[in-house]
Parts: sequence; structure tokens; C-alpha cells
Amino acid sequence: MSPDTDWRQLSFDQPHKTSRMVFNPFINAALANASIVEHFARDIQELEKDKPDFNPADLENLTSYKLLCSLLHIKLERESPNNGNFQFKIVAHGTDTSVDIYTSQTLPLADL
Amino acid sequence: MTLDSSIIVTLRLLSFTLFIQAAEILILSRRDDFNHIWSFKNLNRDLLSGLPLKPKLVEMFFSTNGLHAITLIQIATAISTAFTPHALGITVLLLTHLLICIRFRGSFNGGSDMMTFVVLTGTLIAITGAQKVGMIYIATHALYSYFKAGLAKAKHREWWNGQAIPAFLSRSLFPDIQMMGAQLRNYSWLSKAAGWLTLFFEFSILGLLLFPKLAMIYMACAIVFHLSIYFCFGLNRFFWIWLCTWPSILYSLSLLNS
Repeated sequence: MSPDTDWRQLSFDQPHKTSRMVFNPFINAALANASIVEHFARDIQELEKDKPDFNPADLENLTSYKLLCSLLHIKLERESPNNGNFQFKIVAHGTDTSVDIYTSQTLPLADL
Repeated sequence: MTLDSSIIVTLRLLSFTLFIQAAEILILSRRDDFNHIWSFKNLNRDLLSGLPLKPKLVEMFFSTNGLHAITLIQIATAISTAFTPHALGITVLLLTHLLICIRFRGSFNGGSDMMTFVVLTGTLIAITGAQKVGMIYIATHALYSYFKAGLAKAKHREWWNGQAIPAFLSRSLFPDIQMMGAQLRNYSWLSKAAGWLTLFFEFSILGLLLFPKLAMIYMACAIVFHLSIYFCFGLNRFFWIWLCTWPSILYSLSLLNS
């Protein structure tokens, strides 16, 4: 990780329309997608606890990792389609503090 | 509320809710971005290792085409069950809901999925003969769900000192609600009052066992509570499935009145 890495927060923000009381598929999809990040955060913490020297294959076998990579692919392709490589990190925010949970290797967008 | 009317209203509301849930997934499963993320390719490792089914069956149930078929079956069954309630229809709805929950690994509104199982199970019990038991089963789970939610919150000091509600609002998907959460931090008395009011509302559900005549007033408060959650977080499924539990709560509390 380069010290001058330009981290940007992954946004799940949606337009607020109160008329979607009955059918609200896109908000529910955004909530399900946001929960992928939480699942991955739990899975990676469990993996680090069970196998401190885990290898890339262990990580790639996690379903939550696959879901997260696909989610990032969609998000990044939409935001910056020409960007070849990327890196992500998972940060837990408390009321007063923030903790870095996981920082990925640099990954090629095309491989996702 | 009488036993018969509580069963009929529960059945109609449940059918409507399951219709909405399936239609939402059907709409989403026709979008490329959704299918790219929630593809069978991404999910198959967990499904193949976690289910006692042959790979061909797993693919049949959980591929995108399988998901389309399941949601269509759920839509058709929900419509038919709303007009002609039958045990087979409820059983089919229980199975389609189970398959959808397995496919999305509990990520599609986890809490409302669980309550959907409770209402489906209670309705199935009621429709197969044990009417009273089915309605009391739903009411017990629903009443306890409010109390349990209060208990879980009460363990965190943020709910007592007014930090919890601004923190939750700032995690909403809606930018205007996030801003409201940030502004609420400047009015600590208001966020503290809102936190205490939420705790009081959730704990006071047990008071209905002593004062069942207040059930209608509590239901009105519960509707406002769920509507405000929908407004702040977009959780429409929570609103509908918790609404499904109220006929059985009203019926069960009426037993205490008599």
C-alpha cells in the first residue's frame, strides 16, 4: 500500500423517495449489497483468527470475498471505467474511533 | 378480534407481503448488475458444500433461471392463497421463501425474513386445525421480538446517552437522513429523548399482558414506529411483515381480556 493512496469511500447512497412503501426493490438491493461488506468483514476476521498465515487461495474461496469483488467491479466500472488497478480496505467506524480491518493487495479490475 | 377474522386478515396480509417480496426479487433478478453480484458462480461453493443435495439440483434451484421460477411460483401461490387459503399454498410459500433465503445467505433483510418464517409457520399451524395455537405462536414471537429488540439496545450505553440514534441515522442510505443524524448530534437532549422513547416503546410491550385493552393504542404506536423506520432506512419489508403479526397479537390479547 502506498502512503499516498487516494482512498474513497464506497457509497451505497440512494435517492430518498417515500412513495416506495410497497415496492422498494432497489433500496432492498442496496441494503443487501451493503451487507456483503459486513459479511466479508466478519469472514476475514474469522479467517485471521483460525488461520493467521492464510494464503490468497483461502481468501479467494470465501463467498463473501467473491461477492465483494463482483460488487466492487460494478461500482468501480461505473465510476472510473478506465482505471486498471485498484485496492480496497475495510474500516470499522465506532462512535469515537476507526479500525482498519483488512487492506487488500492491488488488484486488476479486469480480473473481477 | 375474533379467531376467524384474525386468521383471514393474517392470511391476506401474509399473501400480500410474500407477493411484494417475490416481485421485488423478480424485478432485481432481471438486472445485469444484480445478477453479476449475486450470480450462481459466486454462491455455488457455499451452496454445494452446505446443502445435502446433488449439484444438478443445487443448480436447478439456485441458478438465475431457478430464481425466476421460484419467484414466479411464489407470486402465483401468494395470489391464490389470498383468495382461497389452503395448507398446500402455505407450504409452497414456506418452501419458496426458504429457497430464496438460502440463496441470498440471509442478506436480504435478515430480520424480516425470520419474521416471515414465523408468520408462515403460525399460519400453517392455524390452517391445519390448531387455529388458536397458530395465532398464539405468531403473537408470542412478535411480542417477544419487540422486547428482545429493547433488551439488545439497553445493553449499549449509546442508547441511554443519546449517541445511538444519530449514529444509526448517519448509516442510512439516504443522504438527507444522514444529514439529519449529523444535525441531531447538536441536540443531545432530543437524541437522548428519542433513544429513551424507543427503549420505553419496546419494553412496554410486556405491559400489554397486564393491560390488554391498550392493544389498539400500542398497535397505532407500532405502526408509527415501523413507518418511521421505513422513512429513515427504506425497510418496507419490516413494515409489512410486522403488520402481518398484529391480527394474531390482537386476538391473543383479547383472550386475556375475556
